[in-house]
Amino acid sequence: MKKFLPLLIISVTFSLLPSYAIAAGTNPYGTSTVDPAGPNEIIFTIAKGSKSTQFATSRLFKMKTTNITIYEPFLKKRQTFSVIPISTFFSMVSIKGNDQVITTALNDYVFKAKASQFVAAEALIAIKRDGKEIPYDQGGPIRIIFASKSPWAKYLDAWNWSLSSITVK
Amino acid sequence: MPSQLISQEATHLARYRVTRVQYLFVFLALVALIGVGVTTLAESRSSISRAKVLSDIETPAASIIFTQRETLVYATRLAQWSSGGTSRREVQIARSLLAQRLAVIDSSGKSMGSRANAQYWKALRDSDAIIAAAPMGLLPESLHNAVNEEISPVIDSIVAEARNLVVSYQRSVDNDMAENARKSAQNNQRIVLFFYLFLFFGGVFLTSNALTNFKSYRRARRTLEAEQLRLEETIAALRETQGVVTKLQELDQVKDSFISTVNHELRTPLTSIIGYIELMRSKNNLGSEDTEKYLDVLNRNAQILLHLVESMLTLSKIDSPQIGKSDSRIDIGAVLDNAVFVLQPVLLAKKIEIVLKKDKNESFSVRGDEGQLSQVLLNIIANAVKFSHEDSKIEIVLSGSAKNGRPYISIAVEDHGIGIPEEDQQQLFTRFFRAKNAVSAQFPGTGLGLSIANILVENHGGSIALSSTVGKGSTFTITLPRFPDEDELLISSRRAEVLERSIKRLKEAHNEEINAITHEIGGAIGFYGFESEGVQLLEISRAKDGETPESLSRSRQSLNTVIAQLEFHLKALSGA
Repeated sequence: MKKFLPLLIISVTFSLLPSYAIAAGTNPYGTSTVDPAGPNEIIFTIAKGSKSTQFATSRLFKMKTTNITIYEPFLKKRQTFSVIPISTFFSMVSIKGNDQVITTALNDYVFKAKASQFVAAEALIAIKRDGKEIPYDQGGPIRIIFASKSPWAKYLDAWNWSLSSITVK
Repeated sequence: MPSQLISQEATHLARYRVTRVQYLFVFLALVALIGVGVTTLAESRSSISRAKVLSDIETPAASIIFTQRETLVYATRLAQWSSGGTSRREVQIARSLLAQRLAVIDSSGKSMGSRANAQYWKALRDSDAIIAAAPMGLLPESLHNAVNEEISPVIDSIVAEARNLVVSYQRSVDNDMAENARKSAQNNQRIVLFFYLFLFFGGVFLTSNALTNFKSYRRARRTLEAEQLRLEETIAALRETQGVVTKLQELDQVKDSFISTVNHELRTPLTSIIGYIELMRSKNNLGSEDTEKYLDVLNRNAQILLHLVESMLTLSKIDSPQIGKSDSRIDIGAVLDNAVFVLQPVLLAKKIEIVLKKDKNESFSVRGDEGQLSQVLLNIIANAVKFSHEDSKIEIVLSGSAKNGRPYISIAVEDHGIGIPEEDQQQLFTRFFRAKNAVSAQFPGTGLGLSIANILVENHGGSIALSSTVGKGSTFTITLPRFPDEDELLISSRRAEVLERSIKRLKEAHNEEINAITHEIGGAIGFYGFESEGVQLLEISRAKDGETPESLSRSRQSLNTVIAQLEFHLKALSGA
């Protein structure tokens, strides 16, 4: 029995590793290693026609944020994010209610809806999680989230990870 | 059994009944129904749960598609990087997004990463090590061949293991779906089974309960029919009793009236007799003329008294049930001749001629009492003489007639006297009643003669009809059943048999038989001369178009009326 004890401990440790890792804020299936972007490297662009605004990490972190705790539907756990309403970004390039908005991720995932629908669903751009930058392997550096009371709280298609741009068709 | 008890029994039988076994079937049907409800609820909740899973949470399909997509993106970035087409950072980002995808927990409650096997993880770790060993930014051209050689099998392995991962998961999802479908089918089978059990137990209950209550209904109906018959018999008996009571009351009234009238009728001539006797005593020297006159008055009053006493004796005999009439064959022609002979002195005194008309070839025999019939004819003819003017004629016609197939004899006595006022004709046969014009003209009489004659004729199964006009005269027609010959007796006997049998069958007929029996007997008795009753029975058979309580009651009432008429005919036939 004694000779099997270390093997049992190792097995239990490995089986608990993913949940422990997620609880600790790391992705058990990732590397946590992404080369840093340049100091002024653009990580997010919002554009409508000729109007366009680009954001480096430093500019984003200077914007006014609020904290919101939600039930993260992909990882099935509560997390606290620092967020900016998407309407704030829409106003920067005069995106109106009937404009067809396209959100694009770093992996080229695309979601389309009217600007009024985003606003009605109170879409939020999350730039930090638990006061820290959001890792790439956990949907960072910025992502779209929704409050638990939002009509799109369970509309997972709209939860765009690793958001890279918002454009108007 | 008293009617009240019968009604209680019928009411008890007519109540809705459920037996213990039927209660058991109801219980089983309810259990089956609850089974249907519970199973349906469970299946419904399962369906709702599945639908919720599909709508609210990341689905297995999304996990599979996006895992494949992120794997291909990562493999592409690796290939591009190894050829200098993109930076190490872009590859690391693609790797991070794949890691993010592998961490997503879908509706199965597990992440795709937790499903991946060791080969998949080894391929990823190999790629991570190659990337980590390389310099930042774009890969220098001098390293392209070496990294390419190293990364190519890793890329192939990542793609192949990713495909194995999603295919394995897809099979697992398919198995889950098949299992869910199997459970759903089992649930549906249970629902159908419970439903059929409910139908079976419910059907058995309804059928057996309907049979039970139908039997009770039939028994209650038979009991009520028996009760109805009993009630009808009781009502008939009560009516009969009531008739007797009414008759007794009438007799009592007649008796009171009789005593009063007799008192008056006796007192009048007696007062006259006593008065004249006192007058004769008071006069010492009565001349022969006065004596003759007084004696004549005394004689007339004595005659009135004698006639009155004789009439009352006759009435007494008629009313007394102990004294019956003789039942012999009487030649009414001879009785008539005798009556005319007896009245000859009066006829001669008033110079009245009797004209007698009769068919000499025909027999005018009746069954009855010669003395009573003689008195009838004497009363009627004497009245005709009394109220006829002098030097007039009285016509007497003796003829045969028929009524309801039976032969009768008619004796019509027609005078040309003072006649009878119309308003007095109705009461003419009432005891002591006298017509106004007879009283005012001081015709002698007691008012008993016609009453006696009428009673005697009715006792012989006959009747007296009257037609009269004031100032022109009156005709009294006596009708009596003719004494039948042998053929007639035979037919009469046969008719009585048919009537007796028909009455018995009609009385015993149940409600459901009325239609057939009235139709059959209606035709039969019509053939034997009872046309009126036959038609009535046929109408009853046609009118009975439904077995509603109202129509049955109407049919039964009409039938009782016809039975009463037939009984009357039977009685008449038996007396013939």
